[in-house]
Amino acid sequence: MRSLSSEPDRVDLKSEQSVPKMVWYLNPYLHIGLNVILTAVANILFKVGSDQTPGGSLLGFASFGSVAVCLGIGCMIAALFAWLHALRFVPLIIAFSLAAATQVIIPLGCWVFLGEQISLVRWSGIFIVTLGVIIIARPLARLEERL
Amino acid sequence: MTLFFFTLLLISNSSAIAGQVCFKRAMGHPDVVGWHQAAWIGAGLVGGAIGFFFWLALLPHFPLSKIFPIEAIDRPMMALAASVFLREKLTPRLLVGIAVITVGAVLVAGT
Repeated sequence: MRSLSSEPDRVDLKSEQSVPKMVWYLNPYLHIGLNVILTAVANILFKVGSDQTPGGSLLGFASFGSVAVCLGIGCMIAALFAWLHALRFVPLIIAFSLAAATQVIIPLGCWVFLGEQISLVRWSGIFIVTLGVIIIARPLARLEERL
Repeated sequence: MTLFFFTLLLISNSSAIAGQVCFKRAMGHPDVVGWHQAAWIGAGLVGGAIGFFFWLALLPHFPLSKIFPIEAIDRPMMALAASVFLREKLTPRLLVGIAVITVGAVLVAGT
């Protein structure tokens, strides 16, 4: 795998150096966070909206009449823009791995806002995903501090 | 889950991942601008949509608690795609993080 990447150091250096020069609200890692939160909010809105509309229609098209579902679609579009901005500077595999935080935020959001139960196995999964995201995020955080 | 449905899941994941690779191609290079950039973003959206429709085709056949955990293989698949198609560097630390996230994602989805 390593032999395939002929010039990774140069690419990495470029992406890492261009981050701290920006104003804070353009920070790509902030936008990955925005993407995670907007995706979670959208999914919870989809759940709320589709619960309010009658089922049975093909692919749930009836749900498009719901305000919550339309707001959710707006959140998904905003999430896409945040994601594209982040990809300008962050390698895809790092952005994709950090975005696994949605696996944590969505269950927690369902627990807090929808009152859904979380099983012990799922709690352990939430903990393990958080651990994995921290493993990947820590060297990035240290880098940001240093520069 | 039969081989047929597993293949459908692989196609769904691969399309979504191909879409992400297109997004990265659109944004990750300063020379890719204008229509060129819009075309890559469009290709990314098409990839995501194809992945989504394969996913929808899969859904009626299985309970969510069975397919969601298997879907977590998109994490190692993405690592492979980013390494092969985008030449991104996979450090040992990153690989460990991805492995941990994959295990966690299986547990979150499976119950």
